[in-house]
Amino acid sequence: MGKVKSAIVLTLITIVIAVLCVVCFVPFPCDGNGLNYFNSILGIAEKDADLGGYLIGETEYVGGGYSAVLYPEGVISGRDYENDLAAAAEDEKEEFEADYQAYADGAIYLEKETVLDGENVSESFKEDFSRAVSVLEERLERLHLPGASVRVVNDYTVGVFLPASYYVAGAAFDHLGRMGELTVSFGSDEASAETIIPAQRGTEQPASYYIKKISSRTASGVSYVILDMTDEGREAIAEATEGATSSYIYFNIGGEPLITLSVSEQIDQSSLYISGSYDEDSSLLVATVLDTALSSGTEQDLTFSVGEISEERAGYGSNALTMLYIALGVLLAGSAVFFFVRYGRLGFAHLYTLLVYLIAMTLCIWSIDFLTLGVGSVLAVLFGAVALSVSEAAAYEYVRKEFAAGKTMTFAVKSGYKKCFWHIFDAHIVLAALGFITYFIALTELSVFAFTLGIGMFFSGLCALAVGRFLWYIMMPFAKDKAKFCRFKREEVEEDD
Amino acid sequence: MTKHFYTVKKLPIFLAISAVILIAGIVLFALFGFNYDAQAGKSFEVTYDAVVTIAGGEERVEEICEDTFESLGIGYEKKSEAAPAIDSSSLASTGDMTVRYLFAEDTSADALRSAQDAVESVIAGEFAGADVYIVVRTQGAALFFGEPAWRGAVALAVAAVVVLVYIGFRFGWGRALTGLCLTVHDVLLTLALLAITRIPVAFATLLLFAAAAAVISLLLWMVQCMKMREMFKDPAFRTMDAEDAVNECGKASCKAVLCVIAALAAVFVVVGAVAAAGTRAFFLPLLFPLAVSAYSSLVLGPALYLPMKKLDDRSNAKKGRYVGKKKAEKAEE
Repeated sequence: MGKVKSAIVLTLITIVIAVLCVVCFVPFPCDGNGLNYFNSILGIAEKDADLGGYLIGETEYVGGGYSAVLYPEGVISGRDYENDLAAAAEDEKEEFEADYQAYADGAIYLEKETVLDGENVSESFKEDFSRAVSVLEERLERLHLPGASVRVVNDYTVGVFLPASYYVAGAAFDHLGRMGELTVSFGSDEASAETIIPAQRGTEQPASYYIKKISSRTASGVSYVILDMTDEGREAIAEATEGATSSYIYFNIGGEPLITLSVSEQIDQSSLYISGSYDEDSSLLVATVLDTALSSGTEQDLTFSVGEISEERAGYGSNALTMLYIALGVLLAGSAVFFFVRYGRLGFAHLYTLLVYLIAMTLCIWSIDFLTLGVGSVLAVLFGAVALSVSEAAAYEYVRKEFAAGKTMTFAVKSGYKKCFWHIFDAHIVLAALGFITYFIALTELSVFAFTLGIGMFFSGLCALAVGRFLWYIMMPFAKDKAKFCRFKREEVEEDD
Repeated sequence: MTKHFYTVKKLPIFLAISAVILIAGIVLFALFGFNYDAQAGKSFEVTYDAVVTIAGGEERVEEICEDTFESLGIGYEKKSEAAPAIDSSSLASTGDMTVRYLFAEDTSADALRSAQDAVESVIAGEFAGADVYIVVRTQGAALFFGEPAWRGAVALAVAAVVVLVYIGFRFGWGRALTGLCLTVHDVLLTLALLAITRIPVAFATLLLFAAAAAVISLLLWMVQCMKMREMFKDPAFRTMDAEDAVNECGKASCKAVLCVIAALAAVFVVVGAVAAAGTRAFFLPLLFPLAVSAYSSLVLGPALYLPMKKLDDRSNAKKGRYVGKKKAEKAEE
């Protein structure tokens, strides 16, 4: 490539990289009065529960999560008790006080009739609570949310944490706590609807006799809750909806409807696909709650009500992300310095390549739905950056050897890259395959790490073999002394006298 | 006679070193498990109205809490930054803020009750009509989700086997089998070291450590494999016995492996040194899988590959594989 062409291409590439760097990494205020801000792509990228921080101007917090305390029937918070007591009429206060017993230094209050057996908590309540916690745990586990947790608090309440990246957290707290038997009712309104599953025909069969399983699916951007019916279930629904014009089917848990399906004609299908306003997360949530109620719900189950909810800041603290960016900046600078010292101005080619890699990874983390910025994804990006730097250094060393052996720079580059191509290819393909295969089987944080590793290795390989070499190619024409440009030397040959 | 570093005789010594660490790890794991950071303890939560009665006084509320804890001689383990309380249906802020301090499980309930009373009275004195609610909760450890653990283990095992099949085709089955042994060894040894050193880890980060060990192990063994393939092509190596060849190759590849180790170590140390406490607790222990992988690729791996190379050479000799006239002549020279 001629000098002029190289200059034009290099200038264009420099401008594109500079603009992308600003867009990806540099937030700034857009006006003098500090009301409008430009947030970088890295800033607005989804963060996990442990890493998070405010966007510029403290307009919004990204990362962290939500925590809620769920109270089973018969247990209320100390604050609710105080408020209810204050709100009660004077003549009812004594009765109200007599109904409850303080527990855990007044953090919670237990309803004597429901929870206590004399002075102590009844064994049946303990069993019911324990079973309800197991169902809650199973539901949360099946949602596969990175960072989500459930724990018992004050012996008889449950603390649930959901990551902020889970958009249906508000609904999830409510739905997860719904316990009880799954029933299906049909009618023109909720109050008058008649239960059709389990059928009121003298049989003692549970809902699982009529419905095989409940799952969710997303295809072409539409999410469904899918109910696979048995023959008996199909028959029960077909019989109930025969001649229906404007009625509803209610899918209830513990008597409360979770899905309301309008019916304008007879439904006679072995699988019911219910769409509506669901997205992938909400359809999975509803399907999970219904399916667990189908498999283990009973009339005696304790239902939870949602108590205090608060936002939780990132687990590692708000400055963790800033410090991590600083650390990454130090590493980038360190890598550039090493390449400038060892390979002279060829360090620019490496710097540009590394920036292209980081920009590509930032755009991927921002644009791919299930990827969040957490320690796992940062580690995967770092593995990619190390693989890229080592690959480039290896390629440069091969070229150095070829050049030292007496080849011209153009042939040395060609020959050096040819010799190390399969080394770089093998290393990257192995680690990318490791990442992608792990991603397909693993869950939560490990799957995020694995997928990021996969794309990291893909971009690292691409940058090392194509971008880096191309940048070297277009930077070379500017050097008068090509060997000096790369700090390469010819091997000294002893001359015979 | 040249003394070789990699010999079949030394292999039991190298394996014994690994076995000792592994057994110690298994014993400690069986007795105490990993040192999970399960966030169990007593949570001291202060919820206050940050819009009207204590507007702009967020820092003061925290100061009052921390001064009170200090005066009572109780120290908290973790502080969660003040965050807004939110409405359950809309997830919009209610105007209240909650700051949370986590104390150890054995912190005296009386001391926390005293702290609760003291903080309430100081805030009431400083902020007229302050709307404050303080509650102390005893929170258990986060419940363990089994599915991510077994699926993670299966995922890593399947992925390792698949990529080692690729390595088998590209570099030979002896090196693939050695790589598989090393990857399993490195993952297990990393987990053993975490159990022995009692470094606090969250469940998710434990899986990440295992994955990191697999990645580093494969990367370093790949470097060894590449060097071996490159060097074994040299006709001079065809006449060497397996021990000589592996030792020569080990010497030559040492620099390349050390360069990769140095690059990774620099990354973990810099991020660990510069980053905040939470991230440091993740990145610095990554030096464990790095050290284990360094040991296995530089010491254990070539020694483990040696018997396989011998078998391979013997099988090649038996087959009497035709190596080409020119190569044979070169080898004779």
